[in-house]
Amino acid sequence: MDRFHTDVLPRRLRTGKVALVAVIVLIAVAGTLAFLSHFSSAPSVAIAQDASPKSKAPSKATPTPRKAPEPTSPAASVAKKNSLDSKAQPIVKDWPQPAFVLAITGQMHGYIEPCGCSPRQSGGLARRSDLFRQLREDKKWPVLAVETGGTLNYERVTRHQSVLKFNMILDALNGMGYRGLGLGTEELQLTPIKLFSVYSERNVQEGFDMPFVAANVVLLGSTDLGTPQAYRILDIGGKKVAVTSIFGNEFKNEVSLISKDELTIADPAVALPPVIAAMKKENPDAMVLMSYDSSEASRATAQKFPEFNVVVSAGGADDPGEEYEMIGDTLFFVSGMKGKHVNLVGFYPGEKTPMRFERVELDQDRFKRDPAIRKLMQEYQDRLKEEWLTPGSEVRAFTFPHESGHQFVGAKACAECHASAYEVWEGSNHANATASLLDGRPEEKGEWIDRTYDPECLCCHATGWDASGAIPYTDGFIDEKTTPHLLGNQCENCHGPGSEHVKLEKELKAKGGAPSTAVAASRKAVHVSKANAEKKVCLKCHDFDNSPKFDFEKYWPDIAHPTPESEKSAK
Amino acid sequence: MNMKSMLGAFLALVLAVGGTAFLVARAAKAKPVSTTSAAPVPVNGVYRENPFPTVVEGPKSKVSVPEVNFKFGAMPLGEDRSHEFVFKNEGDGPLKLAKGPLMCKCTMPDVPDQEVKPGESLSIKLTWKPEETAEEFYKNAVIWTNDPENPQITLSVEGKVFEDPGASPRVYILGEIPWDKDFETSGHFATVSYKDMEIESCESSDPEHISATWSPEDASNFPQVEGALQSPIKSFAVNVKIAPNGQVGPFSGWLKLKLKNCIATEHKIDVFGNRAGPIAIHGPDYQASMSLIDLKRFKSAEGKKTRLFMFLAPFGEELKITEVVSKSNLLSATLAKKSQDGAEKERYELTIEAKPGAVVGTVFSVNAPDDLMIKTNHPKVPEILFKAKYIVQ
Repeated sequence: MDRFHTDVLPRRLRTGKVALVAVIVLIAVAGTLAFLSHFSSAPSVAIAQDASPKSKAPSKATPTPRKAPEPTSPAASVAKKNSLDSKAQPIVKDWPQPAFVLAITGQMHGYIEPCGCSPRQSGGLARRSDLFRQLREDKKWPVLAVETGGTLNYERVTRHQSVLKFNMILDALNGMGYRGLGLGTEELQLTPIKLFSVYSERNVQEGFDMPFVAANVVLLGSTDLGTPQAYRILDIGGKKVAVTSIFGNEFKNEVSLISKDELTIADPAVALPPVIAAMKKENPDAMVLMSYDSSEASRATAQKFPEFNVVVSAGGADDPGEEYEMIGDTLFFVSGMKGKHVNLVGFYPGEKTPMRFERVELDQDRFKRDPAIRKLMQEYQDRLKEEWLTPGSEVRAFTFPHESGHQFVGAKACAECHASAYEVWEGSNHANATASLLDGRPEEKGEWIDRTYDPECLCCHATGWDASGAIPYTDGFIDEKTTPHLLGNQCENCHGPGSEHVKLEKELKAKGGAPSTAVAASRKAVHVSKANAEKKVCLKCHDFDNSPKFDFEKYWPDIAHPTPESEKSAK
Repeated sequence: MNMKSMLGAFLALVLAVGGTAFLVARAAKAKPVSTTSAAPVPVNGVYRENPFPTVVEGPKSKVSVPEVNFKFGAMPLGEDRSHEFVFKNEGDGPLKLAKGPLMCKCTMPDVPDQEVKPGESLSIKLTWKPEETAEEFYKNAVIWTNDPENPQITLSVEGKVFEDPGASPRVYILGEIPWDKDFETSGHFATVSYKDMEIESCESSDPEHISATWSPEDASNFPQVEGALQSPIKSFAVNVKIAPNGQVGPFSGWLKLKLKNCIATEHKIDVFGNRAGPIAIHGPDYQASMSLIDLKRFKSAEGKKTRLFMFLAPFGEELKITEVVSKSNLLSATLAKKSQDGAEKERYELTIEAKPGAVVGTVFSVNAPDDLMIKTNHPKVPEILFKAKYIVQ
C-alpha cells in the first residue's frame, strides 16, 4: 500500500512530503534540545525554590539566620525571578493540610483600611477577613488568630475617635475569630480606665471572645478586674494552644507618666516564669508569646524562654519582607505594621517539618473586601456622624485656635482680590476635596461609605484643620451646613488663616495710600514659596501612605496660580 | 519505504510530537516569567517585570554584587542617607540593568541607562529619606539584569530613625489627675548633636493651666530605649504642671519648647489627661464632657440598660445611692460594689435603666435631654447630675 501510494503521488506532493519530514525532524531536534536544556537549567529552579519562604519552612533542628546573610557572591545574593509575581501566587501554596494555622497580626496603628488612601496599597480589615475566609472555608483549615496590640494610631490615640475606632476594630477582629489581643503602647495610652470600660462592655456581649491578654500588666491596681488575662488556653483543630503576651521594657517609657494606681507594668523577665509554669500545667500542644517590645528585646526574650514554640515581636520594620528566624527551637518573627500583612504559622505536630511560616501581604489582587467588615465600617461612620453633629461631644472636644491667632475666612474672601488664583483653585481637585469623601473612589462605586464626618479624613479634605494631628482648629470646617465657606481644601490650608490679611487689605483699600508695615507683614505671612510648599506644606497630606504617587514637580502645575507679583508683571 | 526508513520516520515523528508537546508546555509554563513577545513597559521609569530578553547564545553578562544589604545604623529624622551598591560584570557580554519596583517609594535608585562592559563596574545609589521615626526600618529595591543566571537583584537598606532633639516620652499622657489641685510630672528632652542647645522659653496652648519649667540634667538620665535617640550629649528635665480649672473631664493641650543653638527652633509636646473628681465615671455609652448618657433607640416594651463604672478613693464607707430623681420618671439607677475590700481604688458598677413601658415616640436629645439626679452618701459628691438622650420606639 505504501509503495503504491508513494509511486502514484505527484511529484509536487512528494517534494512536499520530504519537506514535511524535514520539518518534523527539525521540530524533533528542537524539542529534544529544549528538553535537554530544561535539565541543564533545572538547578536554577531549585535554587529559586530554596530562596522562597515556603522551602525555608523552619525545621526545629536547623536554626536559620535573622535575615538573609550579607552575601559575598552573586549566587547567594540574588533570587532568580524574572517578575515580581509573588502577590499573584496563591496563599500557602505548597502547604499540606496542617493540624491548625496560627494567624498573628500586630501594630495595625489605626489602619482599618489599606495602608493610606490608595486601594493599590496593601492591608485593610476587609481583605484580612477574606484571607480568613479562604483558609477556613476554601481550604477547610482550622485557624486561630491573635493580635499583638498596637491597634491604634500613636499620634491620635488620645482623641475620642480612637475609642470609637477601637470598638470597631474589636468587633472586626472578634468576628474574624481572633481570640486574644495583647496590650501595646496605644492600647495603654487609651488609659487603663477607658480600657477597662471597653472590656466591661465586651465582657457581657454575646459572642465576644477576644479578651485582652498580658502577663505583666495590671490595670487600676487590681488583679481582680478580670482583665487583662495573663494567658489563654485555646482549643483549635483538636489541639491545645497556650497564648500569652508581654508589654516590654523598651516601650514602657511612652506610658510612664500614667500613675502607678492606674497602670503597673512588671519586668517581663519576672512576670513570665510563673505564667509559663501555669501554661505548661495545661499540657498545651503549642506555646505562643506575643512580645510588645523591640525586635532586639523580643529576640532576647525568646532566647531566655525557650519554652515557646512561637515568639512574635511587635517591634521591627513596618515592611519586614519575608524573613523569620529560628532561635533554638523557637520560630521568631516580627508582626509588620499598618495591617499590611498577616503572619501564618502552619502546625504539623510530629512531622519532620513541624511548622511552616508565610507572611501574607493583603493585596487587592488576591483578596476581596468582606461585606461584614463593610457593615462595621458603616456603623463606625454612622456613630462618628452622630457624635460629630452633636456640639460639645467628645469627638469634637479637642480643638485649638490656629497658632497665628487668626481665623479662617474662606476662599470666597480671598477671591475678592485674587480672582485669577481663585479660578485656578476652583478648577482643581482641591476644590472637590470634601465632596470626594461623599462620592468615594471610582473603583468602590456602589460600595463606598460616606466619610464626611470622619475627622481622620476631614483633616485633609476640608479647610481649617491640623492635618497631621487630625484636629480641627477652633473655627475650622465642621460640616456643609455649619461652615459652608470652608468646603474643600482651600487657600488657607496652605497660606494660613486669612482674617488679619483680609482686614488690613480692606482697610488699606478704603483709606488708600501706601501699605503700612502691618500690611506688608500680613502679606509676607500668607506668602508660600514653592520651596516651602515642597518641604513643609504639601507633605502634610500628600504623604507616603495617603498619596503614594505624589510627585511635587508633577502635581505643582495643577495648583500653581498667579501671584499678585506675576499678575502685576503681566500687566 | 523500507523498514529502516520507516523506523527513522517513526522515531522522527515521536521526537517531533514529544518535542512539540514539550515546547508548548514549556511556553505555557514560562508565561509568567516575561518570555512573552510584548516588551515590558516602564511606569515612571520602573519595570514591573524584567525587560531584558533571555540571552540563549553568544556572550553573556554575569553580574556580581558583593554587597546587597547596607545598614545605615541610627539616623536622625530629617536627614537622608545614601549608599552606593557596586555591580560588576564578570561575564563576557555587556551587562544591562533596569530599575524594578521600590518598597513604598521610599528608596530611589538611579539606574544609569548604560551597558556595563565585561570586567567593568557600575554603582547604583540607594537613598532613604525617612518621614517618621522608626525603631527599625527595612527598605528594598529591585534591579533587573540581563544576566540569565541572576535576572533579579534585590538591594536593601536598614536602620533606625530617631528625632533629634527629641522628648521622652514623646507625648505626655497623664491618665487621671486630681481635678482640684496642682499636678506635676516630668519628662526629658535631649539631643545627640547640639552640645550648646538651650531651651529659651516655653509656649503653652493654655498658659493658665498647662505650664513647664526645665533644667539641665545628666544626659544619662535620658531613657535609653529603642526608637529614642541614643547616647545624648545634652539633656534637660522638663517639669510640667497642670493647674485645676474648676472642671472635671478630659483635657488636652501642648507645650512648645523654644530652642536656640539647634537646627530646630521649637519642639512641640502634646499633653493629655483627665481631671478626675472624687468619683471618676466611665462607660461605653457615657460622654464625660457633657455628663451625657446615650441610651440610643430602644423598644418601649423592652426598655434599655447601660452600665457605667465608677472609681473612687476609699472614704471610710461603701458608696450608696440615697435618692434617685428622674425628670421623666422613666430612668432608674442601681449601684453595686465590684472591687475587693482594701483596693487602692474602689470600683462600682452603676446601672442606669430606662424602664419598659415608656410612651412610643418619646424623644430626649442632646439639646433637650432627660435629667437623672443621683444623690449619694459621699461627703464630697452628694449629687451627680446626668443627662440622657434616647428615643423610644
